[in-house]
Amino acid sequence: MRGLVALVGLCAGIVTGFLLVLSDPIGLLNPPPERKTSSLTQLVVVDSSGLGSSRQPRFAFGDEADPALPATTLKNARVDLALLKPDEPGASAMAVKLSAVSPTNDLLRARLSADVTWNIVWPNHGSIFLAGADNHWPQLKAASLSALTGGGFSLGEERFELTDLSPGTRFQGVVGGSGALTEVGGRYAEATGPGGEFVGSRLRLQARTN
Amino acid sequence: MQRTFIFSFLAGIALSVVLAAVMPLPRHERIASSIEVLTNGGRSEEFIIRFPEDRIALPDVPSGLIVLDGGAAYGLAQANSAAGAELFRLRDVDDQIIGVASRISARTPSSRSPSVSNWMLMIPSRGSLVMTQQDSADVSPVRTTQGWTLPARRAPFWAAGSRYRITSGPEPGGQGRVLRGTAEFARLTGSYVETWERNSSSGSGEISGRIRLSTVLRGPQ
Repeated sequence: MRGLVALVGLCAGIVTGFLLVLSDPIGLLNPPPERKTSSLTQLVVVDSSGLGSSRQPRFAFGDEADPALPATTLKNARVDLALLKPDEPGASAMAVKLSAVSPTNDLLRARLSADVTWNIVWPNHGSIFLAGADNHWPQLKAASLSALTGGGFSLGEERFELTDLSPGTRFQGVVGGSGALTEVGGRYAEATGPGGEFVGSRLRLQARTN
Repeated sequence: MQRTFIFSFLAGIALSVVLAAVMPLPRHERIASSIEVLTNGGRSEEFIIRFPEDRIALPDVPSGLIVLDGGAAYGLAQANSAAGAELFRLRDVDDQIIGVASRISARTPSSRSPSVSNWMLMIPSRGSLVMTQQDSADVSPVRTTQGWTLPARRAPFWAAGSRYRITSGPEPGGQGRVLRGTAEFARLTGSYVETWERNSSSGSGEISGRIRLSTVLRGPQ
């Protein structure tokens, strides 16, 4: 009987501990400042194609015909090419997004992120660079809670904020650009499409001219 | 009995926290970098891309974009102008693959150069560099009777020789500008030069060679 009680207690403790880690208690003690949402331009990922990370074979960037070039250095990297459209009438843009698993990830601090850089170009006009990090913790949390409640490790149709525009968070900015957008700076935020998909993602730009 | 439950419950919580702390997360394999420290401050590092073998072909093409030269690049065409995107694996001077790179080139009316090119270099274990330059020749997609193509894929582009310095500004000395770095490259800025070197053309007319990106990076003054 005592063994059974200990087992139940242990399982209850593991589940509680798991939920505790997911809820990021360290982050709750240091809440981020309130979010600014003014003067935004929004771009939506209409379609994309990508290569790398866990969805493809380990050697996605390697040369299968030449085992001497397995590109193991790139096994946690990803390349995406996308067509973006503004949510208001305007010209479409082409974008490349490079991302890699962040070396500073830490489950105890709810850090599960990828370092990313974007280059977005509008033909005959100019281009901008964005640099920052995508936080995938909310997706892990949602999928884990779904699994605990019997819904499978699934993200459903929810959209997830990968970044925010809060001042004081780590650098998440418009780095600069070329052409007519050479002097542009500011911040950006990204939210995924339904189900955490890249297609349907929204990029909110809070740009300023330097 | 109650004491047993509380003890095992606390042990369960502790076990979860310890598991979260020790669970192995993905780490990047790191290759020693080949950096030369400069006597007048800063550091130089050279990156190499071999073409065509380092070109990255995507599994499909996003709707609304075009394929250039059989998948060598991708583009977005609007009226008589197009922007081209090329994706590459990135190598160090010892020919080891260390990262991925993208190059976007386009004509922009506000620039005095024939075209403008942007580079993103991402070395997963070290960070990223974003760089921009004015080009010495138009290397953005051009329209031919066969459709949009990259000028460097055509033999006439190489008529002047087998070595081509592409960068012509905006930094003094005709060098490109390193706008920003992330992670280990954070707070570094500087300049760079992009040079294309042609090896030969095969029987099929495929041009091979390499792109050399020579960077000079400095910390905050």
